[in-house]
Amino acid sequence: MSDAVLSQFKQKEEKKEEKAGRKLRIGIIGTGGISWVHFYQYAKMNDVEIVALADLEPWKAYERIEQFNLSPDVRVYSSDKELFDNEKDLDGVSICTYHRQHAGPTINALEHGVNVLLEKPFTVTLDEAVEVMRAEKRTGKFVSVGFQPRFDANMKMIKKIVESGALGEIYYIQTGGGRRRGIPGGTFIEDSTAGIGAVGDIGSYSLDMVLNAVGYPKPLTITGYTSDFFGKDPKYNGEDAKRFSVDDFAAAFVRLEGGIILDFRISWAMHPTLPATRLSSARRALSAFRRPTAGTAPSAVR
Amino acid sequence: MTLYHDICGKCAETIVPLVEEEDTNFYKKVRSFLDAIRTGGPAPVPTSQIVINQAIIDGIVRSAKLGREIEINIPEI
Ligand SMILES: NC(=O)c1ccc[n+]([C@@H]2O[C@H](COP(=O)([O-])OP(=O)(O)OC[C@H]3O[C@@H](n4cnc5c(N)ncnc54)[C@H](O)[C@@H]3O)[C@@H](O)[C@H]2O)c1
Repeated sequence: MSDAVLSQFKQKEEKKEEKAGRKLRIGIIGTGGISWVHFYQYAKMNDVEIVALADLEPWKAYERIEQFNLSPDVRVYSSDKELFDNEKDLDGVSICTYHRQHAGPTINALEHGVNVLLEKPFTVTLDEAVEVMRAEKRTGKFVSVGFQPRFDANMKMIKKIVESGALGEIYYIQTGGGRRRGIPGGTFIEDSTAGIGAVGDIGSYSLDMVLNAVGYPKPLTITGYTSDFFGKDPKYNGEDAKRFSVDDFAAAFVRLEGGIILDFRISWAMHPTLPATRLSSARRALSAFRRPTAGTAPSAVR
Repeated sequence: MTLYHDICGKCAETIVPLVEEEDTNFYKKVRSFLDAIRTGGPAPVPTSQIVINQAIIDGIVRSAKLGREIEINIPEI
């Protein structure tokens, strides 16, 4: 074949690649503990470029650049605000900050036209969640909330069983789960950073597991209880007991639309283990055990 | 997972086999986000669902503080 013919082919191929799109430009805000997994995933993908990082403690971001062998051109900022003031060309950001810093940076991202992968829980308060959603509506950009067990094959199976009708009309759901000893440390246990304790950290996963299965009906009324007996006790929580200012246990009785009762308990620490997740109808029930440590565990269900 | 049901008037249990697979959940969480950017959405785990999760968490915290049952209203967005 002549060069002219060959170059025609080549041009076609290049056009195709162009269509498949340029690399997505990604930023990561909050480069602490969980950000590692985001770096690890993005770094594996060849259609993605990590271009900017932000952390209140920028040394953490520099450490990640080294760990993942990222380009020295990656820009590092000391807050989400500084990042968005300077970066005009981002396609998306992972927001991996502590809970009190979920809503602010997420709204900031949306206002700058950037889509967000936000770590769980969504926010601390309902008001913050509503503000984030209004920003989504205003800007036409979107937020995806980082519940990875959503993608778990066994979690999907629970939803499939419910949707198949094999259970019948569900009227009573128990969910939650307990660690007997499993209080985290770091930024998870102070009101100023976390805002909520076990109820947000691991409770949000249990709620997602059942609510997603039954199609996320709205809550009508709630009787809730929270406590902190273990977190505040040096016998169980050592030095951290002094600064512990969130819940380590929560229980609730929730009436959901559609005549469904949700009975929920979650613990970072308590004496007994807590029951498995159960979905009951007048005909049948399904029981699934959610690993209390699951977050990043291989499968959330057994 | 276990399915509880009756068979010929007796209480019975059926085991639903678990799927054993490699842990790719975190990969899928990130990949689905990137794919949604390319297609212009919708979000794989949308706030329209998770706001209900958040309303429950928020309700638990508020009810616990008040020491009584409360009604939940999620504002129109
Ligand atoms: N999906 C999972 O499996 C999983 C597991 C662990 C944690 N998480 C979630 O990830 C989030 C972070 O947890 P972590 O353990 O990495 O916490 P962390 O405290 O280790 O990291 C948070 C980082 O965010 C930084 N930060 C806070 N506000 C900021 C701002 N405005 N701009 C820039 N940086 C800011 C802090 O300096 C800190 O380095 C939490 O929401 C947590 O619940 C999810």
